Amino acid sequence: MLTDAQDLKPGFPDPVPDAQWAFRGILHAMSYPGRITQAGLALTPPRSLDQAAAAIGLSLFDFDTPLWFDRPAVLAEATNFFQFHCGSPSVATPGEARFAIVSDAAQLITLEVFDRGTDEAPDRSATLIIQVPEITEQAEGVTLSGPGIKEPLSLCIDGLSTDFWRQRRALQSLFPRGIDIVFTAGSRFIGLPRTTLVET
Amino acid sequence: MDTISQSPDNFHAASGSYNFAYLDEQTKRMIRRALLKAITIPGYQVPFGGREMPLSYGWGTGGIQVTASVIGPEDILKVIDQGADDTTNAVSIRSFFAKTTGVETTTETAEATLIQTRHRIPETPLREDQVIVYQVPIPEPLRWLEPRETETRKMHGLAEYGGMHVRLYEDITRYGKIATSYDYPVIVNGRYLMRPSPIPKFDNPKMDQNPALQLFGAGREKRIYAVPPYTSVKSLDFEDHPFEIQTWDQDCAICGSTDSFLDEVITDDAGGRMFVCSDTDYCGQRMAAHDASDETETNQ
Repeated sequence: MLTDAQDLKPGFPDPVPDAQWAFRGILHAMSYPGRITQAGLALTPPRSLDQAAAAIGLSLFDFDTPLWFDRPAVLAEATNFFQFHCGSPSVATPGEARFAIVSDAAQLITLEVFDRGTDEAPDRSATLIIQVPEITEQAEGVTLSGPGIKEPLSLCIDGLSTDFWRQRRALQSLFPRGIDIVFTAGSRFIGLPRTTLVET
Repeated sequence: MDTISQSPDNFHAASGSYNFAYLDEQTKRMIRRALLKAITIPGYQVPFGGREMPLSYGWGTGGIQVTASVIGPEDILKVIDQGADDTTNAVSIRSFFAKTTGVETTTETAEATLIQTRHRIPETPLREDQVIVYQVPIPEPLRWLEPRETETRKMHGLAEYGGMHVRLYEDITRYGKIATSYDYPVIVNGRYLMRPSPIPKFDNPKMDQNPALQLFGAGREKRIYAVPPYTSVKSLDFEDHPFEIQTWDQDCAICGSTDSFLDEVITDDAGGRMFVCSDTDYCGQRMAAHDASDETETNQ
């Protein structure tokens, strides 16, 4: 279901180094959860896709990673973008997705629908890329601690449903099962692996 | 804010007919996804589609695949084998990456951004902007207790690690102490039992709360695992037999270090021997500093 060629936005200008560089950004963000990382690649992704989300997708997605989009109509261009550049199939059931692109976290259906892996194979779990309006470091926000975090840090992530953090905390007791999240806001992003403990 | 800068100029320059860092892009993506899951589940062994590398298993094929998936043109690579930069394994891996990536290489721990290691952790403390990659021969800590993968998987799932404590206890009943001196089992983040690879137990405390990201690659067994920065790594022990590291009666015969891991070197066939730092860069840095201060004194 590809649209016209002129609707299709370009991928990485130089795929090998760009994919490596984008990956190092994600590796850094997941290693040091909550630290705001900059995806500095000059991409022109589809309008519905954040710079950071596009860079992460282009560096990690391929035919092995079924994708799920929370709003297929809004994200149609993004769906085509990843299908063309990465060859990733999109799935209608969130439980079948390796990666999920969420563009409106306020309306996000429960986190329970995503694959959390099993106790014996917790790596077979979904990673969520949640696009939010803004991520800021401030004391009034949620407090993060756990592996990769030397001193607990506080962040404010806009655009989440009121129930989001309660659902996220409920997953903590399931460790090693769980889901890993990347929040993106434009070209800025942070990692929130399942090990990160969240206090509201 | 953390910004990672990029200069892809040497990306295409040195690799010649190879893809950058040898591996094809699909393989790198698969390994990169495995690395990310490994970080989110500290100490858990993620299976990956290990590739045939142009050297035999046992020569660091797992570590090489991890390094190849992480390395970029801005990295400065250091490779050590038992602490030394100038042994066969280290030299050949370093030249492999010099040839296939064109990155700068170094022997100085402080200068490196990426360190691949066989069986040691450098004495110089690591920093946040460094990544260390361990070569792992056998990733499964429970393998000698339970040969079946299906069972060890279940044991990890249930955190059923009593057998390992029994093994260490049997050491105590037989020898009066825990005799395991390398590849000493650890618990990561209070959950997973992990083999730290055959590093001496002397190095185990360095893994705990380390600011650097630690990645582990096992090529033959096709497993990747990780210890994220600032993560608890605890060596197994008992209240009445606490974990202890090796100590020596001697100081390093070259630099006089009293706190580094020493190798015994046989010097003749009449029982002559000496103890020297296993970390050649650390020993060399100390000697250089020593020489420099000597020179200052002479000048005065």
